[in-house]
Amino acid sequence: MILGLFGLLVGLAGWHAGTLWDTLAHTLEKLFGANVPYTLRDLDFLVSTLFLLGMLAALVLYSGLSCQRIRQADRTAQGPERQWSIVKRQFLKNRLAVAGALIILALYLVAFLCPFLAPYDPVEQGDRVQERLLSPSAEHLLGTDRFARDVFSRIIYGSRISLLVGFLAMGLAVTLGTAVGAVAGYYGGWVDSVIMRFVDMMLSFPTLILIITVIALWRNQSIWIIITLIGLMSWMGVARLVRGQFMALKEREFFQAARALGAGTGRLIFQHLLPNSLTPIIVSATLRVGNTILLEASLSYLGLGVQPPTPSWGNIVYDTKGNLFTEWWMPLAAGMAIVITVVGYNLLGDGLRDALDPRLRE
Amino acid sequence: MNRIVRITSLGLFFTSLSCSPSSTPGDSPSDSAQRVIEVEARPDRGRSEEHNLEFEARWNELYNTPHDNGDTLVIGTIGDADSLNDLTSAAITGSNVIGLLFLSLTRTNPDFSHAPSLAESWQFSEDHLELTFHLRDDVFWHDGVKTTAHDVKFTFEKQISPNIGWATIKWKQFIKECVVVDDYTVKFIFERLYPYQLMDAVVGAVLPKHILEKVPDEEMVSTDFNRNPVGNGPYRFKEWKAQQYIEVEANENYFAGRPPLDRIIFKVVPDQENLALQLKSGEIDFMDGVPPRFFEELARQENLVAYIAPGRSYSYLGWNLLNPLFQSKKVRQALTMAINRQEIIDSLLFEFGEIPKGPVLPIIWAHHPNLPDFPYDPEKARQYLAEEGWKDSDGDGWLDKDGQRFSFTVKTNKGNQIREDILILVQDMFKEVGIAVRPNILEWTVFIGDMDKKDFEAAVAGWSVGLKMDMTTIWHSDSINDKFNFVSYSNPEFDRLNDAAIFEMDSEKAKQMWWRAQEMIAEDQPYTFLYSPKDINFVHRRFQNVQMETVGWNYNLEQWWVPKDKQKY
Amino acid sequence: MHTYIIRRILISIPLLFGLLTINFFLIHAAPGDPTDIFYNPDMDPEARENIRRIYGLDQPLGVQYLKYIQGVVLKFEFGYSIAKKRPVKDEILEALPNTIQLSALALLLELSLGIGIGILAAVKQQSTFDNATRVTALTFYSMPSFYLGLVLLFLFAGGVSATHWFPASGMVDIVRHESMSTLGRLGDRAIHIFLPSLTLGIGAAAGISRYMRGELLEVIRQDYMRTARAKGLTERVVVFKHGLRNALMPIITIMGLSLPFLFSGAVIVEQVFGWPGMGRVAVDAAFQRDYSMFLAVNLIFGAMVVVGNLVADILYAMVDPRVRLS
Repeated sequence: MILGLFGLLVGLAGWHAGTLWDTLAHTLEKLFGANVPYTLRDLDFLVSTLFLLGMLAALVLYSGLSCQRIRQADRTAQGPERQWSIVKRQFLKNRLAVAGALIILALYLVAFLCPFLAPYDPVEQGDRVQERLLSPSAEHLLGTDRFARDVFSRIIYGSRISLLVGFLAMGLAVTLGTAVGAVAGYYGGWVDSVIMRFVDMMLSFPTLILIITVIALWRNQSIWIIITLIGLMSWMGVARLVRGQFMALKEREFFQAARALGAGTGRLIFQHLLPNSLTPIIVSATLRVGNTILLEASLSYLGLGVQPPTPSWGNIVYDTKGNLFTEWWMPLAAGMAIVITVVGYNLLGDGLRDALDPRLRE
Repeated sequence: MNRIVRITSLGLFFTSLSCSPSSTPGDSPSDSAQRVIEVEARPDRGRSEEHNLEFEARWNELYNTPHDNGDTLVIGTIGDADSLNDLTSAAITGSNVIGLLFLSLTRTNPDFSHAPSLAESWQFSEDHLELTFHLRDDVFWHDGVKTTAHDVKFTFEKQISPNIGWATIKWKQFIKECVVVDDYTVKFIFERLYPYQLMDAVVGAVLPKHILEKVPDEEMVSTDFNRNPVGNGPYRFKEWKAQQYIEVEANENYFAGRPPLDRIIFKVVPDQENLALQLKSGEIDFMDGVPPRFFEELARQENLVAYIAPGRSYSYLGWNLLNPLFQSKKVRQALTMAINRQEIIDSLLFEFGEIPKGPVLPIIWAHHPNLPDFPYDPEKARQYLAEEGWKDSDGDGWLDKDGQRFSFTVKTNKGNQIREDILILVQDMFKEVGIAVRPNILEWTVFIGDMDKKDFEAAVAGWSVGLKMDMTTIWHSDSINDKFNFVSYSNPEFDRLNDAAIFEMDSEKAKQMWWRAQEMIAEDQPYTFLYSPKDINFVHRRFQNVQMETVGWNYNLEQWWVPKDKQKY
Repeated sequence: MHTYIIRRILISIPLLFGLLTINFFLIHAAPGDPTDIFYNPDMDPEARENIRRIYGLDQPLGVQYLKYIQGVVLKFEFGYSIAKKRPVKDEILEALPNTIQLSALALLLELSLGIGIGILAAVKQQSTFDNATRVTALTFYSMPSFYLGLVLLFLFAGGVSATHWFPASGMVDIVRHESMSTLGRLGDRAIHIFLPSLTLGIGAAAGISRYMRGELLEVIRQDYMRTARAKGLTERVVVFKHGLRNALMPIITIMGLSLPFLFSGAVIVEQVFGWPGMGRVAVDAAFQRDYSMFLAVNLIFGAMVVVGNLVADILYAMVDPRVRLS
């Protein structure tokens, strides 16, 4: 949780840290010369993804450990090892879920290995008179756009933006939502009322219109601002979920017992309530990644996403929709990339829910 | 045709540009099987006060030749109108509809000279400070009331009211007074002598006094008349559904005779692709300013005729002269030479454009045909930059000077794909000579705000060019803080020339002055003049007597007609 | 019941008030103001200042806020739109029915398609039909609406001549609509609304079908279902009479929650298909800094969401006898 809050701070401070990346990149460039396969702009993606993966690993570890303690106290029969192996078996039995997991894994691999997979530099323009708007061929799998850039390479690089946005915005939303939901659920009473009315209010905003307005406040719409905004606009569902979980858990014996034994607030939340709410949080987080990716794509389509020439799937569609009459494969392919990714996350989320939720086991 | 054009808007709106067919009138495209009509600009006689009898004869021809009435024209437009009241309208769609509903004192000929409309004739006084118009006595408002000199005077008073905010208020700045002589005679009294007195007097649609006199100036912006206009033109207002369409129908009582088309509908479609699609499938009959990327596909359609007209706007890359990076003339010239402008035109405009060398385009009489130019030459650009101290001293591929890398941000506004694309092209072209450019695409309001505050290093923007020769608002040093001299161009010699040329009555002398002024700007390169796009118009081939002219695609819109056997609706 | 509804409405008043306040300061904080549309070299900057003064834009923000709130609360007055040159109320009254029409049809599509497919998939669990619909539903659920709209537009609205079955934009055939018979007019409206509502509704329908399948599967496993089967009732009766009613309950809540997404989706769909609704008004207002229009549109969106949720809760109480609204 503390890690999560840290993640929130990093997410918020991300756009301030733009210069930090630059410095880091320059140092790296000095160290390795011009031969590093990863260019400067790859770095923020790598660093943030690694950070997030680390965070996620820590979170899972933490939940595993706490679960162990609680399950030993709460129930007696099932050991955690058995619990996890059932989950694993259930998950692997679900072929669609495995497919989803594989899609996501493959996408992350693609995003990490962009420089090796993409045949061309995504922003490098070819001979703009001779080589523009080429049809698909062995050289250019998806042809070239009007700047004679290789569309296939652009779509490969575009995966970074979508995955980055999906992951970070979701991380922010889940962290914020959990924090707010936890406070509301734990304290209840008027605190709960006030917070939940606020959540209701946030839910009544049409997200897209609000984001359009807020983006105008910044002159430099970097990816970090977009991530932060999407995150800030999608935490409400998680908050409701966590609050509901907390409310229910508070009635359970193990919690009553812990409280009777004089456990402090922090201990009650972090060792008893939160670990037991993690399952639905993780499931809803996975399912939410898809929505954040769609939101980013919609923003890009309105021209409010990442600044060109950096490719993102949304802005490739926006950029090439004028070619629909003739070079229809360009917007089609970029759009399909979005669909496949979101499908992947949703399959994974469904699979996780089915595996983690014992009620659904047959 | 009333308003000559809403001059020099920054091109946020898709301005309607100019057109004139090379074919003779009556020679309709379907007869000649010609499907792409390239048109050339006619010589600009905008300063002339003489009638052009040739054009008037051509205009009257329709009324003497047999033609069929009926059918409907559907015009596709990307944006809705904001008002159909000339005093408050700011969007281009509104101006186009107003042109059908209202009359001005004069109509504009294809060579920008004036033809009789509401005014039958006009003459200047001896001292050329009083201009008298004799109005027709058979023009009625659509509600049956007669149009008189009182309406003209009333309109003038509203136009100059500081509480209404008429968009071309500056055109009336030298008119002291408007006097009603009798019901059909009205006189404008000028403060001073200058070449564009006639043009300034007639600009704007005449409005009905009997309806609008009840509206206080402060409430003009929100009066019901904006949505329910009563005009006196060839078409009368029928219906306006917000965000959907504006429909006008033939005015049976029009003084020159009923216009042939029953109805003209302006259909609002907020998306370029969708518009092109509807043009292709026949859901709309006409569209102006078609994006060049659709030309090939649309030109393949049997039913469409293309009119390609010379541009009346240009786009530029402006250098903020207050920024130390761009203070040297040589650097600016080098920057221009680093940009392959022909390639921009070839790749982004699909060859539908030309490189303007200066701010005055060929359609204007004062255009200088032989300005100094800085054609694409990266070698020379590098050399110029080296002479100014910009060299790649650390071998990293980027130019630097005193340890500072040559890099800057170029801003532009969203929503104009070609401009957004230019940023990407230019970034690549500057990389070739070792200059790092960061594109920054901003929302329109944010962009103009930044331009106002001089908060930019370089910016891509555009001007549609005024027919009135006056370079004050964009280039004069007085305009640096008056908004439109964004780049802060300041050249005392230019200022002096400009101030004199505006009032020079001898057109030959004026021309010399304007030529000199253009040479200065071309030499100083405060802008890199990028391109002047041609205007692509597509119209369904069933329409006859389509004469697109430099004054606008809608020059004789009220005279288009369709033979009975080809009528669609 | 009545007291519950009244209480809910009372609770939503501060909610909408907060929404209005946040929106007010947000849009005023954004660079530019409504008079930017007068930005033009032929315009006198002084005249622009005058217009600013006429509309009170030169006053301190706090004063403007109080005046605005006062107008809304006391007189139910939303002011004038400077960009559209008409009272905000007029523009909204014109656009709102169109959006409601589109959203209602999309919602109908969402529910009928979603619930129908969900039930079929659950009943035939693990069958080919189940797997096929699950994958199809997921694909549509995962598709950005602008993309779906664009594809439908080009496939069925003129891009491919052979399958040009639907008009590309608008609500009616603007030339011929008036001369049509009543039935013809209805048909005309139907073919115009088909593609936009499909684009808007199909993603949500896919979502509902996923929920529906899950809920029904869960319900089917409940003890009372076993009891029903044991009583010898046919599977059909078991599923539809006992299962459906219980499975539908969460769907009602989800439907209430999906309203803001429907409105956000309308923003994009209205743009792609040129549908003259609130989404377009909202986007224009945001870009043009048309303050009064922006605030009113967002307030109405908010109010519609509140009402939608309230209706969902009441429906929920009607379906589920255990829930007492008090």
